[in-house]
Amino acid sequence: MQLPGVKPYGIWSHFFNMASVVGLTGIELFKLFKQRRTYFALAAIFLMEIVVFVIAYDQGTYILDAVLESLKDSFYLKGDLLNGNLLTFFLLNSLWFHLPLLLMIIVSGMFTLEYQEGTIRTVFLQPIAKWKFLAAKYAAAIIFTVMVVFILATSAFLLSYGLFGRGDLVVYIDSLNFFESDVAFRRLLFAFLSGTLTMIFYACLCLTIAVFLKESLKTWIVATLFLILTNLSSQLDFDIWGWDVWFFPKLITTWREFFNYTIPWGRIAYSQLILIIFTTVVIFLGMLKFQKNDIG
Amino acid sequence: MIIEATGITKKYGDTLVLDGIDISCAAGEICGVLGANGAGKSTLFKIITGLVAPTSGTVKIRATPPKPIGGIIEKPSLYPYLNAEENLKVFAKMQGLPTDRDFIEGKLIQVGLSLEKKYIVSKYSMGMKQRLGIAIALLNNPKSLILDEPFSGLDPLGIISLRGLIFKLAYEERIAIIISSHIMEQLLSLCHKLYVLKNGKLVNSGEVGELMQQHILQYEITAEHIEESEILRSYEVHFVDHRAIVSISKEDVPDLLSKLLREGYAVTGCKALWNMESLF
Repeated sequence: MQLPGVKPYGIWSHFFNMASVVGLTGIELFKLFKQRRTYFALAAIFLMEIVVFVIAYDQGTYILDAVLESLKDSFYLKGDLLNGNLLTFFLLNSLWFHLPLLLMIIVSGMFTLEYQEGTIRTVFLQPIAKWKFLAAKYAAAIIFTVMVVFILATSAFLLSYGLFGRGDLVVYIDSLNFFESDVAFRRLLFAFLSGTLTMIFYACLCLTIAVFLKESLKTWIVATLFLILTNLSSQLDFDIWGWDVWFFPKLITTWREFFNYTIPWGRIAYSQLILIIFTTVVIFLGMLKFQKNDIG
Repeated sequence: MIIEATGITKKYGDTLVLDGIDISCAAGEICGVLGANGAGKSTLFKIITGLVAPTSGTVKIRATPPKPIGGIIEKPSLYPYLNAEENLKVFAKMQGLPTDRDFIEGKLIQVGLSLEKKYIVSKYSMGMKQRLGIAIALLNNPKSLILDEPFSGLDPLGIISLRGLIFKLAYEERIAIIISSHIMEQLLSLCHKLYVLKNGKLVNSGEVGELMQQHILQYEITAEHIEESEILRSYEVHFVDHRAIVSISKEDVPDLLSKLLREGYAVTGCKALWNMESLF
């Protein structure tokens, strides 16, 4: 029997909350951009982009010469083939390992640093709902990821077009495919959009791993291991029903489908939907674990 | 009572960390929790503040939501890359409070800080961090406050200053305050009630005055050349520099002091020495 004016205090009290998830997301982003390590990571991504361009330019000339030697007599190709479109394609190919690695370090820090600094206790000594706090972290991680991919794509197009100009794109996916410059640009844009979903999955997964492990180093090790295994196993093919559809490593290469001669929209939409389902499950698991655990 | 915790027990696996603790604190009262490191003070505070669920027992805070209790557990944990103003704004915004300059400045002034200091919190002294931690704890006007080892890492001036702030919060703002420490002198000079924890068990509790009667074994009397006193020869006594450690009951202290004055000794200090063995 409760006395008048006596409120139960404990887990349920966290539901007496006042800030919205949107407000909390704003706070998370404010904190993120107040940390120097965020800018180090962005600088690292930009540096990586330049290095990839230099390597792509160096090796691209050699590869193109070898591949197209016999075709140049039969086809009319507009502009230099080692152009901005091809270099952006090379960048897309090589970034899907390095980019998640840096994203995962930044995103996991959003959670593990709260434990490391003890600020998680200060936060939950305020009237804040646990689920809202973590939902805001996931939202901030997703916004940050989208922003990073947007910056990456914009700078990739600006740098590659500025330095190497535009031209037709030739890529080898099962067979040699040629795309006119405008078509190539659109396909590259779609590829970046598809890649963004993959990056969001990695970011959310890393945050969930951080919720389970609480420590930076352990989270980085597990997340990196997952990334390596994913990249290695993306080439595995088994004749099992649903393998290509449900096996996560197969989903991260969806962006390449945009460089088939005919874009398989149905297959792409299906695999992106499954990726969204995986991301939702990962977020749900993180929320469930966090809700159940003591802050400590 | 504002804070009332009854039968608090906490187990981690097979390890019993707290065993049926009862603790309460009224408005305007300062209660101390004394215990060695590892006695279970922080776990008790985490349970009272709702950070950790007890294995059994209940915690009642007689205050209205949204924030019945504020506190600092273990250390003042702040965002080290933000300055004081930004830290306060972040925690204020989290709970839907205003973040304008006047509001933030008012909260900083309440704990003796100012908006002038723009440098990041990682460069703050421990005393300033404690004050900022208290300012955050006081957001949303809680009726009770938990301070876990608030004096640790402070210099003597910092301790005096923080004590003043704690007195002010209890007496002027009628906040129920529970403080922990492993140093008894710090608690005796502040608290009305004392709870003594040992290995997760409450081994002693009561009004400070009552506990003094039960557990004071000796008094330390300071005066120039007190070791030459004739009066003290009739007591069980030993001397350290100009201090006499006398085994005597509380009731006999005034009589002894007046005898010493008559003997011509200008007594400059008289301090109760607790019997730690019986207290713990």
